[in-house]
Amino acid sequence: MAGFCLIGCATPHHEIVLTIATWGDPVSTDSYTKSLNQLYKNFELDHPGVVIKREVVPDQYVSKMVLDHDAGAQADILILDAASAALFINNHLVKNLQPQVQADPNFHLQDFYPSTLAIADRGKAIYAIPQDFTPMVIYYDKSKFIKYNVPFPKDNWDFADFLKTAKALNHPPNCWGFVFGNWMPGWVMWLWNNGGDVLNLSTKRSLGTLNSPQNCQTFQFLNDLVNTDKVSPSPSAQNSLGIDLFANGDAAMTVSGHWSLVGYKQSPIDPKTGKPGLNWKNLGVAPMPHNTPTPQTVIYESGYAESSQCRHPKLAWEFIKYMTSYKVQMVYNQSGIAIDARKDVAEARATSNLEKEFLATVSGGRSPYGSKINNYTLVEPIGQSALEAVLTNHVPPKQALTEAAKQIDNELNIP
Amino acid sequence: MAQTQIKQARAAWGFLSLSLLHLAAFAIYPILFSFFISLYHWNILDDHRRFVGFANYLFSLKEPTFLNALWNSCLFTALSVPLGLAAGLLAAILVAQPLRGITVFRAIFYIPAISSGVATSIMWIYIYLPTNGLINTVLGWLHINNATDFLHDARFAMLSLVFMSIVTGLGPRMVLYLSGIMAIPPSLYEAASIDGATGWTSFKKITLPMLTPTTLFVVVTSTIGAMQLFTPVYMMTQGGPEGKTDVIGYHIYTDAWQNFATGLASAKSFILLAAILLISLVQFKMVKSGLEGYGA
Repeated sequence: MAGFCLIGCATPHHEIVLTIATWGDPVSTDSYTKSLNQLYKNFELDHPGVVIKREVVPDQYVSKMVLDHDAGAQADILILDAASAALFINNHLVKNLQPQVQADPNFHLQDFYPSTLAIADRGKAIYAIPQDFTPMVIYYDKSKFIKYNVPFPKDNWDFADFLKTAKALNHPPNCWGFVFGNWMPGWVMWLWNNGGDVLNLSTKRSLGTLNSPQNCQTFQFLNDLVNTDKVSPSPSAQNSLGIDLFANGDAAMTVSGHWSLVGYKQSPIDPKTGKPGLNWKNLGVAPMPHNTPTPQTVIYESGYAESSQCRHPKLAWEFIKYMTSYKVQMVYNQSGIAIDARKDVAEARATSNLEKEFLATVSGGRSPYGSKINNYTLVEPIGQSALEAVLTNHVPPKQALTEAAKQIDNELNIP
Repeated sequence: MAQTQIKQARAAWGFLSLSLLHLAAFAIYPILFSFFISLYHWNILDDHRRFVGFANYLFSLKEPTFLNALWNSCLFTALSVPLGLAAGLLAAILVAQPLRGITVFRAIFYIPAISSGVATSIMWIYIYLPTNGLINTVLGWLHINNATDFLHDARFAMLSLVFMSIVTGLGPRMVLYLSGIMAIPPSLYEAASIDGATGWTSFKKITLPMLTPTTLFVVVTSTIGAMQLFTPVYMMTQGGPEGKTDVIGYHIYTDAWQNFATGLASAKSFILLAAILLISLVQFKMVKSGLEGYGA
């Protein structure tokens, strides 16, 4: 009897746990999470004895991942955000997947948009397989344009056209011409579209680039939108309202990514009309206004990477391949949170004009600096602080940008 | 006799051992290790760690953003400690009155001290919101400009943090002063009253001098707390606007956990420690004369 008991107790439990680290709400029960969990379950069913464990980090994802690495406790698979990918890739926190890609006849990099692959490539090496992405675009509410008899934005509009359009649409508080938010990942494209930039990539220096005359002009333009022409409420006023004015149907234009569509589809009901403030069928998407020959925007992306301490490399590759497959992505992408990195899925799902307009902006998409420069996440708060100084504290753009450039150089070049 | 002493010593070491072990593992070792890495170019992401001596210290003392953070911490301390002290003393005098239901007020004053720092900070974000925040709403009722964004306006951001710290730190300071006030023998006031001393004279000549040890304790602990300010800055201003609230605690945090420059952050922590020690020594010296006069 005792022998049977011992045999029973000693039976090894052949369970392989594959851990996946990602950011988000660890206790979320929304449809996106449910759908994701179902996809993981399907993988487990196809791989008996394998358990997928999702480690969701609610805040400070990058710091947590770096500490995990230092402690030798990395998850097997990391979801890589383009905005901080460089830190993981340049410091060898993730593995080069090129050998697996090359050895696998069933996997083809050609299935993915090149601009999304570029985010995590270094020459021939590839450190993450992209899952989905979003370009930053101008959203506009067509009903407001029709109401105030303003022509829809054209692909080749410049800053002056944009201002003219915003002014014509501006009838606050029920209809602001534009909603501007001081979030650097959401406004860096304004600099690019006026011929400016944040850094000199070759020297990794900001002084002389960030405080260029073009950028001073752009900061002045953004300041005028808020403080002179008053076509946008100030970021402070937006904070105090605590609502998304565009989603609420109280603004004609805004800048955001594809993820906002999820919220726009659930626009709050206007008590006066009993209808949603924003009818998402009235939504239009336009490229960023540009004083340059072509419009430019930033592409934010997420992808699957294998950690350098991955305990089950073969299984991890199987999982990455599974999650980035056509079959799975057709299900995953139903959430509509972003555009699929697979061309076949993105094109299959682009049945509406809106999605087609989104896809059209991809050609002008640039990788965020965070995908190439270590610690770029430190630059963004400095940029925001500089614009805040101009918008709220009326500091001249040249002074704010010069101060910010010095700080950025200091942060990025600490010995 | 000797055997009893040995037994007692063994028992004492037995009781102390756990605490000593805890202290060694979670205080002494980290402090020593932190000093060790402050002498190195030590980045979590970089395996090539090299000895640089005091280079991190010298770099910090020349770094404009660190000097700005040092200045901001000193400014915050210089404003919040004396004002907090005065507010705590005033509250203690008020709640020391033998009134009905006074314990309710004591409890109310103390509530912010037992609340989570994060939760309190979020509440204060709402208090400081432009237009709809509590303060701006009251200003609006008084027909005063109610659009001030206290946390993003360079003129008000630091003052807003100071005001918040005075209110949230009121409870502990009040309790300390209250216990000091309660410990003053009533006979002193009775004697002063017979000699014709008024309320203000009694306060100046009896209460304040008798509270000198309490004041010293409150000043030193409040100064240490103020110099280590972190949570409200992290939650409410992230060092902005224009670096006006970038205090040392937050600055060290960004160096360590966003730039991963652990060696540099450790050096800055020791500079902070030195600054706190220096300020505390000056405070001790300044109050010492008061204590001597009081007869301590």
